Amino acid sequence: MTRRTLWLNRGAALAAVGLTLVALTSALAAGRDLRAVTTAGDRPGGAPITADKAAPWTPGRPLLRRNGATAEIAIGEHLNGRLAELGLTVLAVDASNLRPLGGGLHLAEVRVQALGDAAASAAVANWIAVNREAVRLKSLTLGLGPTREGTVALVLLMVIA
Amino acid sequence: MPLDDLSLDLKPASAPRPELEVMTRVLRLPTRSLRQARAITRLQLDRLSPLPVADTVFELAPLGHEAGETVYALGVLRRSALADPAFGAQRIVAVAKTVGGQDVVFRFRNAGAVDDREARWLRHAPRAAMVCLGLAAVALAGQLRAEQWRERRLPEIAAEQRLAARAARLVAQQAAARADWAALGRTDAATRYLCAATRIAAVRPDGVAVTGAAADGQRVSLTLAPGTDAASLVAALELPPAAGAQTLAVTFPSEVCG
Repeated sequence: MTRRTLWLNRGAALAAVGLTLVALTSALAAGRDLRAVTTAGDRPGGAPITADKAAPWTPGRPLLRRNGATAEIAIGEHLNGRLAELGLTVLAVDASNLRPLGGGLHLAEVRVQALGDAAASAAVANWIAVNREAVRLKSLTLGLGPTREGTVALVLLMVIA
Repeated sequence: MPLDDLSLDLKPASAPRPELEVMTRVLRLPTRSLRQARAITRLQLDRLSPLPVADTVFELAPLGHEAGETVYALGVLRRSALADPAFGAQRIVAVAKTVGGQDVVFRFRNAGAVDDREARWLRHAPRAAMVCLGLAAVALAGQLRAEQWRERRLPEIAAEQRLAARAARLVAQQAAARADWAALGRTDAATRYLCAATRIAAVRPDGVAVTGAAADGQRVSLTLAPGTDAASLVAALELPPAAGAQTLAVTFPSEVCG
């Protein structure tokens, strides 16, 4: 083996070592990419979607239909009219909590502040009892305001479409 | 005869290898380990070899076992004999001998030989470099492909997970809404409030004056106006007596209006 061949072979050996390192680095990087994708795919995106295990649900009829309006506006307009007929003066309606019930129906938790007496409260309770397929009363609080007029706070659950 | 006849040897004729004078004898040593046997022999080399120890190269070859001892063939060689140029490239010099009726091959280590291991190994370097080049090309292509795949898949996976999380959130909200609705299915605050009003009307047709009322899914509590005889009302309604000092309060528990 001549000296030139010896040095050429040494260069080839060095190149082989370098190329081996390149191959190993690339293989490791490819492995990291595969692992990143696998890990991202295995990460849970949320609670598993299971069949409804709650009590049997029969869709009722909605108390009102939004018809394109926002739930808060539709509920506010409906309750203003209905509760006024029953003797309550509505001060505020908060219907920000809207949850899906399925079948195109939603359950709105509505907080109503109104002025009225015990008789108006009883009329409202009666109206709710008659329409209990579409509205239920979670709580009712009757009291006296600072000017001695009756104040009523209602928390209603309403089915709307 | 054609010039490219395969029998034509164009390499320069190698120098004839000189005959090596190997002195042999049989040793019985209490060990089967060749390494230990060499160590023992090295310690007693001045007695076993007729040559000066500094000018002696020896090698052992096992012949067999007899009565718990191992029989070795000891070959002794003059070190200067290996300095011949004919052995210059041989790191191991093999010499065949017959000892005790058995043919043995002594493999003497030639410490003065040229170390050509590097040259021998380097003969494979160009082929190894080509193989490594191929491997590196494949690995680089794989890395490129994996990187492109990761960049494409990660946003897709994130979008799928967002959708799944949204669907799971909707399902959870729906279950909670249905549970809340069903919890008021039998009795809600309205039915309890009406029940309490009906019971009061039954015992006090003229009604009672109240300053406050609270109804929920469990009970109805009325705060009577001052001057109202709460105790007689509670007794008339057959309600359990109110706890504490709230004498103006009337509570309809879930057992009464359920």
